[in-house]
Amino acid sequence: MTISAVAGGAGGAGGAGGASLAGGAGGAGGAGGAGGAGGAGGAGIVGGAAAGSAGSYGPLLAAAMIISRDGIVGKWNHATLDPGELTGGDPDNMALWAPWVRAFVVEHELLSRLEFFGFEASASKGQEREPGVHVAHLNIRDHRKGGEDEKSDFPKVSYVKLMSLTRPSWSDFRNQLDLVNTYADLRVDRSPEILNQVGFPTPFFGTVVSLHPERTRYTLEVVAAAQLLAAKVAMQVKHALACRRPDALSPQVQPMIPTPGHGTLPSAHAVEAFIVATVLWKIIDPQAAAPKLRDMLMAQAERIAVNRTVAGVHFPVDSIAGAVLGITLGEYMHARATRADIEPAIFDGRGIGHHDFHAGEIFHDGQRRSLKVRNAKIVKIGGRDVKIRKEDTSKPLSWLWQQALKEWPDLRSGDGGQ
Amino acid sequence: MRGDYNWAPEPPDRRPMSLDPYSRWFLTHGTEFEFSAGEASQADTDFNYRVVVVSYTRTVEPGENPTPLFSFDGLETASYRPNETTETALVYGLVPNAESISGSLEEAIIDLEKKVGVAEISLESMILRAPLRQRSVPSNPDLDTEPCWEPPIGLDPEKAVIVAAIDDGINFAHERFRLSDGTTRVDFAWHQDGTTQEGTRVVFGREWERHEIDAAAGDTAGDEGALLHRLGLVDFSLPGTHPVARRTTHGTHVLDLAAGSSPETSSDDPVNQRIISVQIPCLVTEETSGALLGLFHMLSVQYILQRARRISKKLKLAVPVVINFSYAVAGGPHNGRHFIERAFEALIGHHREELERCHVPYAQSAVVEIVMPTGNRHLARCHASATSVNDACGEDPAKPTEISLSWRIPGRDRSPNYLELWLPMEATDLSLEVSDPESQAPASVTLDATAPQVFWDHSIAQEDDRRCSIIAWVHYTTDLPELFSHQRQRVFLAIAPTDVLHINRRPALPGDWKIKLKAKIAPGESIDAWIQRDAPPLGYRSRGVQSYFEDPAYERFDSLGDLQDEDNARSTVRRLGSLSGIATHNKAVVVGAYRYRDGVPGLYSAGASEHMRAPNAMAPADTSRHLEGVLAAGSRSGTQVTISGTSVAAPQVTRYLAQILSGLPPDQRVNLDCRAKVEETATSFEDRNPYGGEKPDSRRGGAGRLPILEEQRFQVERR
Repeated sequence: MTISAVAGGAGGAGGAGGASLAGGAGGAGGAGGAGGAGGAGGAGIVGGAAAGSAGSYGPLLAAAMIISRDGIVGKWNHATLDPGELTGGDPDNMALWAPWVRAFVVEHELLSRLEFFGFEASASKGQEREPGVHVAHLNIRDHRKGGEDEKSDFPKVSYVKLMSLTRPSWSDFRNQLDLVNTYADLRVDRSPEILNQVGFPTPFFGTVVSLHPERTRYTLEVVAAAQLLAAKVAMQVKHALACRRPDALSPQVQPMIPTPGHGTLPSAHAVEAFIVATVLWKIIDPQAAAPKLRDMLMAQAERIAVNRTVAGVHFPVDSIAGAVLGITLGEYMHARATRADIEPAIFDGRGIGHHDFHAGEIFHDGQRRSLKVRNAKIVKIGGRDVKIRKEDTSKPLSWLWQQALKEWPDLRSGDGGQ
Repeated sequence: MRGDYNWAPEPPDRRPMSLDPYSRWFLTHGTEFEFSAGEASQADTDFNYRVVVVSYTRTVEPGENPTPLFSFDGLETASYRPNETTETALVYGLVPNAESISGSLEEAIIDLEKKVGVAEISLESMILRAPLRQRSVPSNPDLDTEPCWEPPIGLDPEKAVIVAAIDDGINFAHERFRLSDGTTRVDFAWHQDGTTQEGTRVVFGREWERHEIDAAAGDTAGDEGALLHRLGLVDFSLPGTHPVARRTTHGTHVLDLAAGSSPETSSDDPVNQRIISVQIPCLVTEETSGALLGLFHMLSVQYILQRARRISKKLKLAVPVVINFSYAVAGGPHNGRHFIERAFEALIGHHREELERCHVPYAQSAVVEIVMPTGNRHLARCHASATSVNDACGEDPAKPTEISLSWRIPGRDRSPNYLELWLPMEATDLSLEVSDPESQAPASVTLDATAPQVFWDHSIAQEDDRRCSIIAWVHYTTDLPELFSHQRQRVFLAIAPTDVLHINRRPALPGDWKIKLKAKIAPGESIDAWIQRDAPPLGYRSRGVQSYFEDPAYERFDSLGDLQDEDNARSTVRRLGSLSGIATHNKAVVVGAYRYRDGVPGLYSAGASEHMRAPNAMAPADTSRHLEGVLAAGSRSGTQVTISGTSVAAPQVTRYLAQILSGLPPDQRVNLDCRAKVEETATSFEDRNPYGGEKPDSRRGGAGRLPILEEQRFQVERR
């Protein structure tokens, strides 16, 4: 029986993964890996197993089935099975759909509630005018409650800020370039990692928490959804901020992997790595009983991000922006799955100068942290909380999240596994 | 080559003649391609200092306390009396590169030179551009006070011993250098590339004291990345090389072998094994010829001994010091009188005098040992030798001995190549002929101790432009008075880079440069030649390509096609005699390498020729022919990596000596001859005939093989 990965359709975006020499393997960082929902690459460790699409029968098999039906069907007896109706829109139905279908549903659930609004950050306190973008969450108020306009079929909506990002100034990028040069020294040392992390580096997280295509299948689906969310949000923000890559500022950078075909800030690898670290930590250790697990996941995410600077395709500030965005989106996914509130974040790259990326400066003890470099407020956490009410949680995402939680033991039972 | 090349005397230069040839070459001709030329700078004054050592020896009246012969603003002095009538002094430090200051420094040295020969004074100076960035150079160091030092809980003064490592890339905060309570055994760590700080007590770089290391570790709570950043060992916002960021670092591995311990060990021994770590500037390691090494080695040893005195004064006991220096230098006279070897002896003498002055018990017999590798150049084809043709029966003694060399200079070599030829002090009637690969016509080169010779295109009218065409240079030293000299004559030849990308110089021609040196020497004496090392050290980008001697009579391979290990009688190019030029002193402990599984010496493990002292012993540096290296700490805690080579054999002996000294009561330490002890232990291993067959040639293996680490590892597991 021939099974073909139908949902490779999503993977079609793989070709768009920048200057990908290795073709469909997700391209040089980004949307290409989205194919993971359907086929090889992306979240699935053994891609095919997570694909789970039924595919189609080849012509010989189809012909055989036609003939065998003729042989056994007998006289038509009308509808003899009555399993009962399914409830429309019931999240429990998610168990019945193929993984790629779940992925499509969850992708929409997440992306439909996010919008991007460009703005111009004003020149103030010695800062230059630079473009910025708001990443906003769409709040929905169910019109059937509160009785505002009973004739309308559609709810009232409003946007609240989840995160805003402002581009560093040109002189900041010039300063950051020196770090890219200094980091190049590590290229030989980090080569194996860099080359293995060009697509979604899921195995590097798998090695920390023991991911398995069967045993942790739903966790892997959440991870794939997170990577997709991260990639799509990152591309929107990159488009809004339009930041040039290191090799545009000097012909001496000579990166060791192709420079991808999208703007440099934020680093999609950083967004993707930090969102994955965040959702994995929240799924595997929701009670925060084992901080070392979270530390290892974050350390791996940091290393993946830094490797991009070593390779010569990112500035360290790209990783700062990407890490904050990634953790914020991870908390956002968790909030929409489990109904929680989150603090918004602001990234303003102006004034970053020569400062290097250290994850410990923007995330510590389970919380995002603000970062000030000299007088510039590079990262600010806080402001009006994004409140996720009942109408803002996603039932399908919640279902998936709950299935993932069941795949992990309670880390609080510290008595040797009884 | 285009142009019209010939040999001519170097245009007169005001520089002091006592400058060693590397200094002279770099200052006069080598500025475009010395180390700092390719380095990214952060501040205008990066690499804008000079590091200076002026060493002199003179006769003095017994009991006399003469005024210092030489001093200069900003330089320190360490002096020592080898005997009643001799004084040796090392005047050293950093001076700014400003023309006025370096000019007056050179004038002061020239004035001193005028006294040489008038009174009994010998003089040797080194001035090199300091490979230090502005951030490492303090404006106002406090060199007169010592840091405080308190003994840790549980330290037994009579068992205390200091193991010091001078190396590249040392993570001194590594868990292998800590006790089970988390505190470090590293009492002092000098990071010479570090960022200086207010009130610093070191001439440059950053010193870390034990309490600071512990405080930084406490603040960063198990996050080693943050700790290394805090200690300035890994900070990518600073330009330069950050070796500790790599997975494998030479220094961490070596120090682990020499003094590492498991932090979970229940034995209380480790608290008595104190550690002093010195990380020399990366650019010094990268400058593979070793030109800079002498100066920084000397400064490092001086620092180690100063801190050892601090500890000794506190413990009221001269604490033994075992220094591991896993570096080798190819050149040098190989008779124990390399500058590094003489400086070391002087600094030990100074150390004992200082301890005596402070009335520290056992001062006069204070133990200071240095353990070094033989070097890995056995098969490098970088050594040649010609022994006198005269025999003792008095056949025509006037026949000159000749050494004829074919020196293959590689193409695309961005760094210069250096050749040192050494002759006996009494050699006479020297003559030198050099031919370049293109013309192949031998040209006679004048050997004049007052005037180096240049090989340049004399068709260029303007002298400044003509200087850019210098592709070879000869420097000759002779008749250095006995007191503080090499006691051999030296002909030094430098060939400019053959790749001049980005610099305004003519490239030297790659290929075979033929050198023929003749001299009348006594029976049994020899003329020796060494090519300096020119290949990148572990983990560094390559700037240089190794040159070597080409000789049809040299058999690289044996009849079965394997690498040939032994010399034949016919070739001038010799394997034996490739011993490191700084491991020829009788007082050093010198260690070669062998393979643990079959006992065969490492193919690379260098050995001595008849005229040199042999190594003392060998330690395992590989498991087998194909399983190379010895496992020890990687840069980060909890990691292990393999490194091979004689560099990793030496620290195993360092460890052994430290343990022996720790176990000996202080009054018996004076009777211990460390070299003899190492040899005695090797002999007792060999007596068990562990591998069957013969033990290695003593000129490579000394008294034999010492599988100390394996024995100790086994014991540790049993404990």
